[in-house]
Amino acid sequence: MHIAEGFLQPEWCLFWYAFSAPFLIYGAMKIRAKMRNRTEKILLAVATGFIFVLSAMKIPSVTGSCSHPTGTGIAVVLFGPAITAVLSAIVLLYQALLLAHGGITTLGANVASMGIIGPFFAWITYRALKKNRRVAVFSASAVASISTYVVTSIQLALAFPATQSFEGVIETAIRFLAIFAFTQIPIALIEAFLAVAVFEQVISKLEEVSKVDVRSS
Amino acid sequence: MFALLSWLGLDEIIEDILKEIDPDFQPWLSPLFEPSGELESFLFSIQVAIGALILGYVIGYLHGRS
Repeated sequence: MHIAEGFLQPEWCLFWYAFSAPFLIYGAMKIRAKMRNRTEKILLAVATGFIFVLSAMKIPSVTGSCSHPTGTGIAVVLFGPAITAVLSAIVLLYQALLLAHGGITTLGANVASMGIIGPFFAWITYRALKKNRRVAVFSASAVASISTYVVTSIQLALAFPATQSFEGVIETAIRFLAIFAFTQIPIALIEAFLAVAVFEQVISKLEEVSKVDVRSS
Repeated sequence: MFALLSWLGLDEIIEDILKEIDPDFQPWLSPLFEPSGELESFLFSIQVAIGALILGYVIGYLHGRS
Protein backbone atom coordinates (compact mmCIF):
# COMPACT_ATOMS: atom_id res chain seq x y z
CA MET A 1 0.00 0.00 0.00
CA HIS A 2 1.23 3.43 -0.79
CA ILE A 3 -0.29 6.74 0.04
CA ALA A 4 -2.01 7.91 -3.13
CA GLU A 5 -1.20 11.00 -5.13
CA GLY A 6 -2.27 14.26 -3.52
CA PHE A 7 -3.42 12.64 -0.26
CA LEU A 8 -0.85 14.30 1.96
CA GLN A 9 -0.69 18.04 2.41
CA PRO A 10 2.26 19.74 0.68
CA GLU A 11 4.02 20.33 4.03
CA TRP A 12 4.00 16.62 4.81
CA CYS A 13 5.13 15.78 1.28
CA LEU A 14 8.10 18.06 1.73
CA PHE A 15 8.82 16.72 5.18
CA TRP A 16 8.97 13.12 4.00
CA TYR A 17 11.04 14.05 0.95
CA ALA A 18 13.51 15.78 3.26
CA PHE A 19 13.49 12.74 5.53
CA SER A 20 14.14 10.28 2.70
CA ALA A 21 16.64 12.24 0.63
CA PRO A 22 19.77 11.59 2.76
CA PHE A 23 19.07 7.84 2.84
CA LEU A 24 18.59 7.77 -0.92
CA ILE A 25 21.82 9.64 -1.55
CA TYR A 26 23.77 7.44 0.86
CA GLY A 27 22.15 4.32 -0.59
CA ALA A 28 22.97 5.35 -4.15
CA MET A 29 26.60 5.88 -3.19
CA LYS A 30 26.72 2.47 -1.56
CA ILE A 31 25.19 0.84 -4.64
CA ARG A 32 27.84 2.43 -6.86
CA ALA A 33 30.55 0.91 -4.69
CA LYS A 34 28.87 -2.51 -4.64
CA MET A 35 28.52 -2.61 -8.43
CA ARG A 36 32.28 -3.14 -8.77
CA ASN A 37 32.02 -6.53 -7.11
CA ARG A 38 30.54 -9.34 -9.20
CA THR A 39 28.94 -11.23 -6.33
CA GLU A 40 27.41 -8.08 -4.88
CA LYS A 41 26.06 -7.21 -8.30
CA ILE A 42 24.28 -10.55 -8.53
CA LEU A 43 22.82 -10.12 -5.06
CA LEU A 44 21.65 -6.60 -5.89
CA ALA A 45 19.84 -7.97 -8.94
CA VAL A 46 18.14 -10.63 -6.83
CA ALA A 47 17.03 -8.11 -4.22
CA THR A 48 15.62 -5.79 -6.90
CA GLY A 49 13.92 -8.59 -8.80
CA PHE A 50 12.26 -9.80 -5.63
CA ILE A 51 10.87 -6.36 -4.82
CA PHE A 52 9.54 -6.03 -8.39
CA VAL A 53 7.73 -9.36 -8.29
CA LEU A 54 6.37 -9.12 -4.75
CA SER A 55 5.17 -5.54 -4.81
CA ALA A 56 2.98 -6.27 -7.82
CA MET A 57 1.08 -9.10 -6.15
CA LYS A 58 -2.27 -7.68 -5.20
CA ILE A 59 -4.10 -9.86 -2.75
CA PRO A 60 -7.75 -9.26 -1.86
CA SER A 61 -8.88 -9.51 1.72
CA VAL A 62 -12.02 -9.88 3.77
CA THR A 63 -12.05 -6.25 4.76
CA GLY A 64 -13.00 -5.43 1.20
CA SER A 65 -9.66 -4.01 0.37
CA CYS A 66 -6.70 -5.26 -1.48
CA SER A 67 -3.15 -4.87 -0.58
CA HIS A 68 0.25 -6.10 -1.59
CA PRO A 69 3.51 -7.30 -0.08
CA THR A 70 6.53 -5.03 -0.03
CA GLY A 71 9.19 -7.57 -0.98
CA THR A 72 11.92 -5.61 0.77
CA GLY A 73 12.98 -8.50 3.03
CA ILE A 74 15.78 -9.87 0.88
CA ALA A 75 17.20 -6.44 0.10
CA VAL A 76 17.36 -5.44 3.74
CA VAL A 77 18.90 -8.73 4.87
CA LEU A 78 21.60 -8.46 2.22
CA PHE A 79 22.25 -4.74 2.15
CA GLY A 80 20.56 -2.86 4.97
CA PRO A 81 18.03 -0.01 4.86
CA ALA A 82 19.92 2.60 2.78
CA ILE A 83 20.23 0.47 -0.35
CA THR A 84 16.71 -0.86 0.21
CA ALA A 85 15.50 2.75 0.08
CA VAL A 86 16.93 3.20 -3.41
CA LEU A 87 15.52 -0.11 -4.69
CA SER A 88 12.10 0.71 -3.22
CA ALA A 89 12.20 4.15 -4.82
CA ILE A 90 12.66 2.53 -8.25
CA VAL A 91 9.56 0.36 -7.83
CA LEU A 92 7.55 3.16 -6.25
CA LEU A 93 8.42 5.43 -9.16
CA TYR A 94 7.32 2.77 -11.65
CA GLN A 95 4.01 2.34 -9.83
CA ALA A 96 3.46 6.06 -9.38
CA LEU A 97 4.12 6.95 -13.01
CA LEU A 98 2.62 4.00 -14.85
CA LEU A 99 0.02 2.52 -12.52
CA ALA A 100 -1.29 5.55 -10.64
CA HIS A 101 -0.45 3.69 -7.43
CA GLY A 102 1.17 5.94 -4.91
CA GLY A 103 2.24 9.24 -6.35
CA ILE A 104 5.02 11.66 -7.07
CA THR A 105 3.98 14.04 -4.30
CA THR A 106 3.78 11.19 -1.78
CA LEU A 107 6.90 9.44 -3.08
CA GLY A 108 8.97 10.75 -0.18
CA ALA A 109 6.49 9.42 2.37
CA ASN A 110 6.23 6.06 0.62
CA VAL A 111 10.00 5.68 0.37
CA ALA A 112 10.19 6.50 4.09
CA SER A 113 7.73 3.74 5.04
CA MET A 114 8.55 1.00 2.52
CA GLY A 115 12.22 1.75 1.96
CA ILE A 116 13.58 3.16 5.19
CA ILE A 117 11.64 2.79 8.43
CA GLY A 118 10.10 -0.64 7.72
CA PRO A 119 13.45 -2.02 6.54
CA PHE A 120 15.16 -0.46 9.55
CA PHE A 121 13.08 -2.57 11.95
CA ALA A 122 13.64 -5.59 9.70
CA TRP A 123 17.38 -4.94 9.86
CA ILE A 124 17.32 -4.94 13.66
CA THR A 125 15.27 -8.16 13.63
CA TYR A 126 17.72 -9.82 11.27
CA ARG A 127 20.68 -8.79 13.39
CA ALA A 128 19.07 -10.13 16.54
CA LEU A 129 18.15 -13.52 15.05
CA LYS A 130 21.16 -13.95 12.79
CA LYS A 131 22.25 -17.25 14.36
CA ASN A 132 19.57 -19.13 12.48
CA ARG A 133 19.58 -17.73 8.96
CA ARG A 134 16.20 -19.06 7.86
CA VAL A 135 14.44 -17.82 10.95
CA ALA A 136 16.19 -14.48 10.62
CA VAL A 137 15.24 -13.99 6.96
CA PHE A 138 11.66 -15.09 7.64
CA SER A 139 11.23 -12.76 10.60
CA ALA A 140 12.96 -9.83 8.93
CA SER A 141 10.69 -10.08 5.85
CA ALA A 142 7.56 -10.27 7.95
CA VAL A 143 8.69 -7.35 10.10
CA ALA A 144 9.55 -5.28 7.00
CA SER A 145 6.10 -5.85 5.58
CA ILE A 146 4.13 -5.19 8.74
CA SER A 147 6.12 -2.21 9.95
CA THR A 148 5.80 -0.58 6.53
CA TYR A 149 2.05 -0.53 7.06
CA VAL A 150 2.37 0.65 10.64
CA VAL A 151 4.43 3.57 9.39
CA THR A 152 1.90 4.31 6.65
CA SER A 153 -0.86 4.42 9.27
CA ILE A 154 1.15 6.82 11.39
CA GLN A 155 1.95 9.00 8.38
CA LEU A 156 -1.73 9.27 7.54
CA ALA A 157 -2.63 9.86 11.17
CA LEU A 158 -0.07 12.66 11.53
CA ALA A 159 -1.50 14.38 8.49
CA PHE A 160 -5.14 13.71 9.42
CA PRO A 161 -5.55 13.46 13.19
CA ALA A 162 -9.13 12.90 14.40
CA THR A 163 -8.64 15.88 16.69
CA GLN A 164 -5.75 18.30 16.85
CA SER A 165 -4.01 16.49 19.67
CA PHE A 166 -1.73 13.58 20.38
CA GLU A 167 -4.77 11.43 21.22
CA GLY A 168 -6.30 12.41 17.90
CA VAL A 169 -3.24 11.13 16.05
CA ILE A 170 -3.35 7.85 17.98
CA GLU A 171 -7.06 7.48 17.29
CA THR A 172 -6.66 7.83 13.52
CA ALA A 173 -3.57 5.61 13.51
CA ILE A 174 -5.47 2.82 15.25
CA ARG A 175 -8.31 3.08 12.76
CA PHE A 176 -5.98 2.61 9.84
CA LEU A 177 -4.01 -0.12 11.61
CA ALA A 178 -7.19 -2.10 12.22
CA ILE A 179 -7.91 -2.11 8.49
CA PHE A 180 -4.36 -2.88 7.44
CA ALA A 181 -3.83 -5.65 9.99
CA PHE A 182 -6.45 -7.88 8.37
CA THR A 183 -4.72 -7.79 5.03
CA GLN A 184 -1.17 -7.30 6.03
CA ILE A 185 -0.56 -10.06 8.54
CA PRO A 186 -1.39 -12.91 6.15
CA ILE A 187 0.47 -11.12 3.38
CA ALA A 188 3.52 -10.68 5.58
CA LEU A 189 3.62 -14.41 6.29
CA ILE A 190 3.29 -15.37 2.61
CA GLU A 191 5.95 -12.86 1.75
CA ALA A 192 8.27 -14.19 4.43
CA PHE A 193 7.99 -17.79 3.14
CA LEU A 194 8.79 -16.66 -0.39
CA ALA A 195 11.71 -14.59 0.80
CA VAL A 196 13.26 -17.55 2.62
CA ALA A 197 12.76 -19.82 -0.41
CA VAL A 198 14.36 -17.41 -2.88
CA PHE A 199 17.10 -16.36 -0.48
CA GLU A 200 18.17 -19.93 0.34
CA GLN A 201 18.09 -20.91 -3.31
CA VAL A 202 20.29 -18.03 -4.39
CA ILE A 203 22.69 -18.09 -1.47
CA SER A 204 23.29 -21.83 -1.56
CA LYS A 205 23.96 -21.69 -5.32
CA LEU A 206 26.22 -18.73 -4.90
CA GLU A 207 28.18 -20.49 -2.20
CA GLU A 208 28.52 -23.53 -4.41
CA VAL A 209 29.83 -21.42 -7.27
CA SER A 210 32.22 -19.25 -5.34
CA LYS A 211 33.11 -21.88 -2.73
CA VAL A 212 32.98 -19.30 -0.01
CA ASP A 213 30.60 -18.43 2.74
CA VAL A 214 28.98 -15.43 1.09
CA ARG A 215 26.99 -14.02 3.93
CA SER A 216 29.02 -14.78 6.99
CA SER A 217 30.02 -11.16 7.22
CA MET B 1 -18.80 -13.09 3.01
CA PHE B 2 -17.53 -13.42 -0.53
CA ALA B 3 -19.05 -10.13 -1.45
CA LEU B 4 -16.51 -8.65 0.90
CA LEU B 5 -13.65 -10.25 -1.00
CA SER B 6 -13.11 -7.46 -3.42
CA TRP B 7 -10.20 -6.05 -5.34
CA LEU B 8 -11.03 -2.57 -4.21
CA GLY B 9 -7.76 -0.89 -3.37
CA LEU B 10 -6.95 0.40 0.06
CA ASP B 11 -6.74 3.84 -1.54
CA GLU B 12 -10.52 4.09 -1.79
CA ILE B 13 -11.01 2.98 1.80
CA ILE B 14 -8.42 5.43 3.04
CA GLU B 15 -10.10 8.19 1.08
CA ASP B 16 -13.42 7.37 2.77
CA ILE B 17 -11.88 7.54 6.22
CA LEU B 18 -10.04 10.75 5.48
CA LYS B 19 -13.30 12.28 4.23
CA GLU B 20 -14.93 11.27 7.48
CA ILE B 21 -12.21 12.95 9.51
CA ASP B 22 -12.05 16.00 7.30
CA PRO B 23 -15.22 16.49 5.22
CA ASP B 24 -13.36 18.93 2.97
CA PHE B 25 -10.72 16.35 2.13
CA GLN B 26 -9.90 16.28 -1.54
CA PRO B 27 -6.66 14.96 -3.04
CA TRP B 28 -4.91 18.12 -4.20
CA LEU B 29 -3.32 16.44 -7.15
CA SER B 30 -4.42 13.50 -9.22
CA PRO B 31 -2.06 11.26 -11.17
CA LEU B 32 -1.07 12.64 -14.57
CA PHE B 33 -1.65 9.29 -16.16
CA GLU B 34 -4.18 6.81 -14.91
CA PRO B 35 -4.33 3.51 -16.80
CA SER B 36 -7.66 1.85 -17.50
CA GLY B 37 -8.38 -1.46 -15.75
CA GLU B 38 -6.99 -3.70 -18.41
CA LEU B 39 -3.96 -1.58 -19.09
CA GLU B 40 -3.32 -1.48 -15.37
CA SER B 41 -3.27 -5.28 -15.13
CA PHE B 42 -0.95 -5.38 -18.09
CA LEU B 43 1.46 -2.89 -16.56
CA PHE B 44 1.36 -4.79 -13.28
CA SER B 45 2.23 -7.98 -15.10
CA ILE B 46 5.09 -6.19 -16.85
CA GLN B 47 6.41 -5.29 -13.43
CA VAL B 48 6.25 -8.93 -12.36
CA ALA B 49 7.85 -9.99 -15.62
CA ILE B 50 10.80 -7.66 -15.13
CA GLY B 51 11.35 -8.97 -11.61
CA ALA B 52 10.88 -12.62 -12.54
CA LEU B 53 13.22 -12.25 -15.51
CA ILE B 54 15.98 -10.91 -13.28
CA LEU B 55 15.45 -13.61 -10.65
CA GLY B 56 15.29 -16.37 -13.25
CA TYR B 57 18.37 -15.12 -15.03
CA VAL B 58 20.42 -15.01 -11.85
CA ILE B 59 19.29 -18.43 -10.60
CA GLY B 60 19.85 -19.92 -14.05
CA TYR B 61 23.27 -18.34 -14.28
CA LEU B 62 24.30 -19.66 -10.88
CA HIS B 63 22.86 -23.07 -11.74
CA GLY B 64 24.93 -23.17 -14.89
CA ARG B 65 28.10 -22.22 -13.08
CA SER B 66 27.77 -24.78 -10.33
